[in-house]
Amino acid sequence: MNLALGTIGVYLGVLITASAVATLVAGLVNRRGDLLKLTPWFAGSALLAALLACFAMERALITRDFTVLYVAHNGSSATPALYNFATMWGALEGSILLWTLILAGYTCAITIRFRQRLADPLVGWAMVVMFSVGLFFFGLMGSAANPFRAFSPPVGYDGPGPNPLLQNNPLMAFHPPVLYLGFVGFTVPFAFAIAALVTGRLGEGWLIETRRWTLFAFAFLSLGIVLGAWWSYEVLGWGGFWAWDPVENASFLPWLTGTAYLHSVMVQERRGMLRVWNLSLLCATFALTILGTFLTRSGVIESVHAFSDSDIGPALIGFFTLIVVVSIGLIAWRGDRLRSPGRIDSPVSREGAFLGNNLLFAAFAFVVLLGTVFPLLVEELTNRKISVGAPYFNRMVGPIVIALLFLMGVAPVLPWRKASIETMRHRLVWSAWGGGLTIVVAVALGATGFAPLLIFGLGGFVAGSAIRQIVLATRRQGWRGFVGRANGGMIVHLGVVLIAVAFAASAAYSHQSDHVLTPGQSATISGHRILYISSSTEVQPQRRSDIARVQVDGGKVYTPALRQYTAAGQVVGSPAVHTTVKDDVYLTLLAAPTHAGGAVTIRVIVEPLVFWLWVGGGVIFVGAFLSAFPGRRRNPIDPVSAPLATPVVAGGPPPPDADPDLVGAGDLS
Amino acid sequence: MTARPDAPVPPRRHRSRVVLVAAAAVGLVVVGLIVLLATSQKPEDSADSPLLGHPAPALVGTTLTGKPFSLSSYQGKFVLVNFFGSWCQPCQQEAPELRKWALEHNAKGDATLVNVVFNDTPDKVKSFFAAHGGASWPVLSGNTDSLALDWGVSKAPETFLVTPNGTVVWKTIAPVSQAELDQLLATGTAAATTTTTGK
Amino acid sequence: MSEPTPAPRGSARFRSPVVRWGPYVLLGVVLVVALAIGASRQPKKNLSERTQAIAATIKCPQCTDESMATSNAPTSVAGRAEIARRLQAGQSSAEIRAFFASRYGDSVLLTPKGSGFDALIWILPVIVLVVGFAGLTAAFVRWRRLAPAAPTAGDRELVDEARHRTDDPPPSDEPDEPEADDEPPSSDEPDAEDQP
Repeated sequence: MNLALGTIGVYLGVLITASAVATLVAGLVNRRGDLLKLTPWFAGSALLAALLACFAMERALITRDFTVLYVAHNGSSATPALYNFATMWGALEGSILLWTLILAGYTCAITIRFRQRLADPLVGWAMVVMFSVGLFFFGLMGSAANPFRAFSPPVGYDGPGPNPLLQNNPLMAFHPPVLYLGFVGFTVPFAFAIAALVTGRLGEGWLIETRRWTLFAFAFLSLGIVLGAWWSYEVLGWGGFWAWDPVENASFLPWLTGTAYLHSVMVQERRGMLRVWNLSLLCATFALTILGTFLTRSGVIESVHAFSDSDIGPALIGFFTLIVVVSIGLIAWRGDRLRSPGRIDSPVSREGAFLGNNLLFAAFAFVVLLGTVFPLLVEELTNRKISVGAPYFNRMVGPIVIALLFLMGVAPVLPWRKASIETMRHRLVWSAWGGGLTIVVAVALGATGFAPLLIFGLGGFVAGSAIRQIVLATRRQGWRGFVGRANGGMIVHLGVVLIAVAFAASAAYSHQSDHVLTPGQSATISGHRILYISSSTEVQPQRRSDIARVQVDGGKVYTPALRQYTAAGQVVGSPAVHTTVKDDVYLTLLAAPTHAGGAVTIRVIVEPLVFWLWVGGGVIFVGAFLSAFPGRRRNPIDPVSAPLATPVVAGGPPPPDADPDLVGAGDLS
Repeated sequence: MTARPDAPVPPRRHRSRVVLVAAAAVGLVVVGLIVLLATSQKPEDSADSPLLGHPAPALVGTTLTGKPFSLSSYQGKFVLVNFFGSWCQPCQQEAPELRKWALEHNAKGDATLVNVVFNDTPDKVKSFFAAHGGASWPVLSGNTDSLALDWGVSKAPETFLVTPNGTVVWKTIAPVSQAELDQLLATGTAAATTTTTGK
Repeated sequence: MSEPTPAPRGSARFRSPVVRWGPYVLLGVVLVVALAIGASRQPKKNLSERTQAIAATIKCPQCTDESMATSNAPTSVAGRAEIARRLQAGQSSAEIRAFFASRYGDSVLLTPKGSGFDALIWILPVIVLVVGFAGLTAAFVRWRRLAPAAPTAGDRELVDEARHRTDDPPPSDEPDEPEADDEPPSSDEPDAEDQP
């Protein structure tokens, strides 16, 4: 039953998206607005198809229906409910199902948002792109990554359950959906970028329309990455949260290009420049999400986070090729229309700062991508094996981050077009002193090391600029000083500062030591006292755990454990973390007692300021949403796809002599 | 943005050409990346070892029977060093072959087999040999983790051949057969430094 | 500090350079002193931390893509013990890394070498940055050569028309005027950027 429902959902999805693409293309090419108005039906039914497939999968998981191969390989009667529910995206085929569901959701959302302009070719082509991507993912599920393959379970069969590392922490239920909301969200601005290129309407209209969608995608991607880091921290047991693992890098690359885009697009809106660059960034961001999906699922690069090997590698790399070819082809074709007569007056201006920002982000993305694929390159060309790990990335990325922090502090106070020394001197004095005092305070508190101190200082500098901007804005506008593009952006910058400072502090000032403790014995590390109380063993259907009870600082009792999962046989450490605002005490059980009342070996890592990493992620998320908040005045002359000449449509008459690039080519109704 | 009739506009051809050249350059790099990714094989283990052609690292430990062992006391004979675990399937597969080879060459006196336990407990190893006909050759079981590090062993099974003058000349990570080992000895592998890849 | 009382626009030019730049010079001195103090303090690392630092640069041979510092595989545990033993014996981190490379091959080191083909991974990003920077510089030089156009009569008509039609003044074609010291400058006003 579940198999049938799920397969119907998948095939229906393929059918619906395929006919959507065909119908819409026919409507666009033959200028038939009535065909374009069918979009809501296609979008709604595609969403229903995806929902049906997801419902079938969840039902199969919850009822432990082992006739479905996916459930037989990943489900188990012993898995607790929340993790069982989250197993839908715990393995490869299910993750494609989740991706498709979210994509169908975004398609519907766009249809609703643009429901009054569905006959506009710009929107029409964007929907074609969305449905095409949907067709690809539904097609994947219908072929190489089918979650609804049949299986004949032998009598009394019980599945192995998900990977033990995926059953340890409730963040498993949140990180993938949030991350995918970010990844898939970037399909929307990409679709509109392609639509703008195809229709030739390359003015700023489509940008303004999709700004909020890009911000939503950015917000969710940022939160998703931070949640992933938090999850690694809580689960993997080595006290770190970012290892420059290929899968982590794959999620980070689109974030880098997406952030670069969010900045340089402001130059385009103000000065009409950098069109080619912005279009390239958008296409690159979406292409990188597909590339990331490929890297995570093809097995070409090893990673502890990667899904198991599968056959969808060729399909994904083929899709990536298609996207790249289409993007580059369209941009090259429209190259002449993208030229702008503008110029940037001075490098010392906000435009100049954004250009610098983009250069740095591009270099950052290049470093991350190069480090990830370099082992492959070396193997292909010289037949040797090398490894590129965290030490390389940390060393290369450090200077770029420092330069970016500097720009983040300077740019908000830079005026557009041209800055004078007087202006800068006047505006920067507070931020500069903020940075300086931060360093002084840090040194007074005992901080050491040039690099961390530099980052603290720059963090103070950036915070000073951001707070100055917000204070000025709230003074003039009240609560509206916290919302809107510039102010929301400042809050995002504050979040980034929190993360940078916390990262630097925890990397530079962690203390780690191993302790062998008998019951009742305590040890003191970096001002924290841990007391080992006792041990116990817990046997559950899916795992056997050796648990140590450890009291931290005379307060709460924590239970680091060593868990052996019956199905996989591997022993997985389950750390316990005592979190305070100042630092985290990270406890890992290295060796359980060999006999009752015996000694345990506990590793204690004291890491400062880790709490602020997660707070910073939340601040970025909130700031991005504040940035998307609509402004007070809606300019009635919306330089967006307003129709030409006679047909009067909502949006007001276009200004005369307006740039034909900005005013739409007309409504087809 | 209104057009400015007075401002010099970059020539249309020049701008398109710049964009085309840039697009072509980017396209080339990306195509290179795609080809690289599409043709990369999944990473495989190889039996490359930096020890080949070098003197063998020390192999000192205690055997299952409690006797001390040192590789240096076997100078003058070929020694086959085999790292294994009772849990590993290829090890179980090659155990009978190794046993036949060991017995044959123990009798001849020109070569000997040494087993080193990898990631396993002495009890499980004892029952492993009980099931496979016992072991009349040294089986090192104490402090084997650092031995594995010394020999660059990361998985089981891994097998090394050491010549009578103490040089490592051969390594494999595939299960071995008696015939293969006999041939290896017969060709006088002092000259050959072959590597074998496999699963 | 509250904003200074509104002064006549030109007054900034009359304040002496000492008053204008003094705070920055003082800040510079403070920064240099603080950084010197901070950078000169050496944090002491115990054996466990030094072991982790070195283990973080060595790949765990039996895991998929983890370092010896982060993995709990038996080889990693043994590896860390070996690193600790060698540290206590007085070996340097380079010697310890060389030991692991001599047994497991160069691929066990997580940092590629700086010589031969591998050096590309260090050089290419620098090249990208340099080329990008050069490109930007070239672009700025070219832009500087294009003279800024003065508004024509036709431009002014358009501006007047637009001005009369809407509430808000359209973005001006003229360069922004230098802002007074005590007012937030109009060009980074949040209002102007709150457009949907």
